[in-house]
Amino acid sequence: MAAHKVDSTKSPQFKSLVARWKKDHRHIQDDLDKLFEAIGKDLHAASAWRVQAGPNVEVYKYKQNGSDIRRGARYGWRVVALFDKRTATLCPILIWPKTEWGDADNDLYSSAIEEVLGVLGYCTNGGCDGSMKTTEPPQRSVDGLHVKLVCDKCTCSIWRDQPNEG
Amino acid sequence: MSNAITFDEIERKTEKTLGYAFLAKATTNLAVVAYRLIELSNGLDRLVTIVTPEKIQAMTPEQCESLTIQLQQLHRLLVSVGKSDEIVTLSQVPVLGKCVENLRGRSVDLSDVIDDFVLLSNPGFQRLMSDCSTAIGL
Repeated sequence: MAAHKVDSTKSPQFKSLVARWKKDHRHIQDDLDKLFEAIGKDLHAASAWRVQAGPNVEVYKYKQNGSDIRRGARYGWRVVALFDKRTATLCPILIWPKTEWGDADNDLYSSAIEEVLGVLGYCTNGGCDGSMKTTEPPQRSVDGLHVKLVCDKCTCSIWRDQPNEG
Repeated sequence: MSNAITFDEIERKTEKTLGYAFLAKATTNLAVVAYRLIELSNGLDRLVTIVTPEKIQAMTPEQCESLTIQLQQLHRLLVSVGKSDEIVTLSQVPVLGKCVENLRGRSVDLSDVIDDFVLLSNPGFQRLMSDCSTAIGL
């Protein structure tokens, strides 16, 4: 196979999810560095599973050991990446720990996807395809730890943890 | 010279023989359980290997949905077996512990296959994939 590169900086969604999981998994970056090194050498490393084939873009799913989970790759991270055949670039886009989605139950999948959509700023109000934006000026909770987000389409609102500065 | 045997000796020998018989029976049962667990793990291994993404893509949505339900039922059974008191007790027996762990591992592999079935047909996940592709310019 021709040489390829891994670009983990391209997807804003991936960065947001890594930041989300970092709260409970302090060593996520070390785990990801190991994964990127392995799949940088071999696209089919880390128990690669081609989820979707395509003429230009393919979807791969990888398994990586989670240092904080300590139960091997089988119970560790799942990383979904898009492989652009034209530029031979692999871009990780989604990540979750298998231990969180282990039950293979439809309700769990729905709530897990909803959580991911929520982390990425999507509106998760039944079928709405809007995005959650902070109010102008930003409305903070009394304790100052949460900010109010309002959907730009259906105008539903939620309170979310105040994002860390920097 | 005396060939006489006391009642106590007869009782002791009988108990000893009975003890060995129980031990042999228990050992046979454990060997059978280990064999069944290995067979089950191998069967799951074969199942996970044949359900490839190419096969998933070649299926109609109805076939996909029906197979997903079957796999989820099987997964639920495996998880409940893996968590049952009997299996937890058996897993403390040295050889069986490894077999039980293998079975639990195969059940996780099966849930990975179910992930692909469910996620690829989930509108929220499709939206996510599509937006991620757009965001990175694909």
